[in-house]
Amino acid sequence: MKAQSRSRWWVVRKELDQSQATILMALSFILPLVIWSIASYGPWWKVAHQVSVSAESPRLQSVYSVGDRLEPEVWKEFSTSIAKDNEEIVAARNGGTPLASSARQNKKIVRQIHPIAVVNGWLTRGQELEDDAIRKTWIDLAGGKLKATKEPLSDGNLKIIKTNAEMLAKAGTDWPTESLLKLLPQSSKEVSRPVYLVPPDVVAKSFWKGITATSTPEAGDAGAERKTLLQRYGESWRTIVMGFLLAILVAIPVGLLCGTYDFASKIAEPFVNFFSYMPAPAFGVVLMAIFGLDMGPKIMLVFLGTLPSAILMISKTTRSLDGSLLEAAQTLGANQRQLLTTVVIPGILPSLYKDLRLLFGTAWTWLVIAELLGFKSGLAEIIDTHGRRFQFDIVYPAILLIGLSGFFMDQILAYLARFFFPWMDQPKKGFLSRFFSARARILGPAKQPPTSAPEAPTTSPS
Amino acid sequence: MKPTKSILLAAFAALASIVQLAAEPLKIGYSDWPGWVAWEIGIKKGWFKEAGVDVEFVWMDYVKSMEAYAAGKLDAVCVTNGDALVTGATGKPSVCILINDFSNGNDMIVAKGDYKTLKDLKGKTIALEEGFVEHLLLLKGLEMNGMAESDITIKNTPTNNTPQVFASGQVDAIGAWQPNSGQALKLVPGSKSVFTSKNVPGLIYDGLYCDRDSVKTRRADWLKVVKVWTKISEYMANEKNIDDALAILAERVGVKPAEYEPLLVGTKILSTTEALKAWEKADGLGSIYGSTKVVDEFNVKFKVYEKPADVDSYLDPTLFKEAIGK
Repeated sequence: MKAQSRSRWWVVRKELDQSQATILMALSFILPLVIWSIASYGPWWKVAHQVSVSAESPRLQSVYSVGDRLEPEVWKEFSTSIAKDNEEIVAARNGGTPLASSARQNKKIVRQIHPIAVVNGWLTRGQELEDDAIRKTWIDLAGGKLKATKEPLSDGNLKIIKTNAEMLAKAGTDWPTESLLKLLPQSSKEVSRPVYLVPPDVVAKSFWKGITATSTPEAGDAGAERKTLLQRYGESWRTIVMGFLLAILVAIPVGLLCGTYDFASKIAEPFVNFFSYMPAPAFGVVLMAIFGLDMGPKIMLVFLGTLPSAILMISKTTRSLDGSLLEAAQTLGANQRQLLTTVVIPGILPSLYKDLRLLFGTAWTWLVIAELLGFKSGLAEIIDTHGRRFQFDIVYPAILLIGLSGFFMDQILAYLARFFFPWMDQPKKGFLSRFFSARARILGPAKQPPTSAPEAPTTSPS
Repeated sequence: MKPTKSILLAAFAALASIVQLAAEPLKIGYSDWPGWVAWEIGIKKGWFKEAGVDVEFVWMDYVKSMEAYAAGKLDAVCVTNGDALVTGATGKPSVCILINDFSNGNDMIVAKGDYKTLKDLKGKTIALEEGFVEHLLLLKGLEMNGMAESDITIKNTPTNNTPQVFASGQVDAIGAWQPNSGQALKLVPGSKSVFTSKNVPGLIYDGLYCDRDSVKTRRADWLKVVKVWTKISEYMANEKNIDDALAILAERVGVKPAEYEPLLVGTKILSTTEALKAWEKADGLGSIYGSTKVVDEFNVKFKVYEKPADVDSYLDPTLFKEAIGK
């Protein structure tokens, strides 16, 4: 029994049945996800401090913001520095010569409470700089009107809040001229993974945040440019589609001619073949010099990257048209032009469609390099600028978006083929299993008649 | 009657075409140094339009902006007084019409935690952009510590890549300006700045260096640009505006406003009176003349270029003085 079920999974060149196929299909996506999860959530990463209340000190060379992850030694230096600052302030105050402080310095101390106030729902994120509202929070907290439940404040900090609130109350509507006490840094213990290993849930959240963001993201969220992920995604699509359309506009006629007439083939293909070995990105600087810094060089790079392989592929497809069809047409008295327009072109349409589908997949691979030419744009700008800052939680969703687009575009185009070319033999299974059967057909025996060449594996652009 | 009319018309047409030529926007290259990012305030607030001058600020990497200037693609570029000499000697000379600031600590040599002083870096590797401002800072630091250039190994690295290079652990130290140096300090726990421009204030002045012909032919436009700068420096000097200014500056370079605030200390943006003082011809680092002379001698000594530069030709305080009515 056991041996039998085992043998059903592993049989030389035999297609699996529908349910088995579906299971394996799902697994092919689940397994990488599981590996990713194990790597991220596994017990082997050190614990670090994720700042939830921050403070600034002249003793420190960096400013730590809420959300920063600090290694234990750095955290220790950070918290002791702030404690020392407070000791100095208290000592000076007790000594009768309180440290003077500008209104701004005190405002900055008061603002320390803002992240806590946001988490607890007392203030909104946008009120970051509304000092009077934040100030009121301090007084309310000291008076017991507010209680931090979601993100508790340490006892030490509650004491500091009370002392400061007294001073704030004493100053009336003005800002105190002597230095307030700083809130002591607080942190939650978080797992400290390498920066490049972002756990799936963070990527998913960041992805969701990216695609749901409106055109004015919250302050501090965006980098140098305030375009949303979707707007950038649109830019990327524009680059890809324009470059691709331009390429096939040239490649289809040239490819058809090369595949049909030996003259055209001999005069064009050797050079195109040679040209296809020169990597398109190598022409980046030249493209910038010719087409400027805006969309031009990006589109042209996709064009250059796609064109040679498109011409070669289409001419090959044209050549592979069944010769007997041409002979039959000639027997019936078709002339040269009729052969081309009524036999060759309709004859290769389904294969041509498939070629274009695959070529569109490869066009995506040029995207990132293209978008970094001249003014950076689109998804590649996110990948580049945030990557430089090691913000991989923002980088991965952008990469993922490119992958998903390529993948689903390919699926959809393959699916549409059955409506465009109903006379061709199309797999009749569902969306996902059809994807599988495409794979299986390469491994398994070709059941299709020769006219429908086995589908190549789905290209997955990186 | 008629011929005169047509001559007039032709003259008018010619004049119109000249006006049109002059109406090309002034192209100014700027990069991530805080004193230059401050231009962003004028851009965002529309002060250039208000002043009636058409400018196009082009955001670039520092060395790329100098290359673009040398290639004639820009009318002006934001550079340090030293790098203006280097660009002048190897590419295209320029003239400084306004001083934004002097570096007061934001240019740094940042070293791993094992090294406490510059002296400890003997025999070690430092990543920085060769031939430009951080190189100058390092050489000055070595000289002050009685060391020679041969005591260290330099790895030529674009400044905005230095944080990543430093984090990779492949070099012992880097030379960079803020915000890059700050990023490096944050990325590598325990790292420290072992030498900064605060040790030599006035060695590095940051200014707007323009194409010499452009200053002659479009003086009125440049005057307006200088006036906008005085407005920006006044705006930033007011404590009430700091939050607003920080939000603009921090957004341009992609850091958080709170992280950006300390950078304003390390870049001493000059008030008009301070700038006026820096424009006085004097020896020593308190004057841009003295500073530029020091740097020039330094550059020749270390063979950054061969012949000493005509320092005075690089500096023109007249526009600034006219702008503030002195």
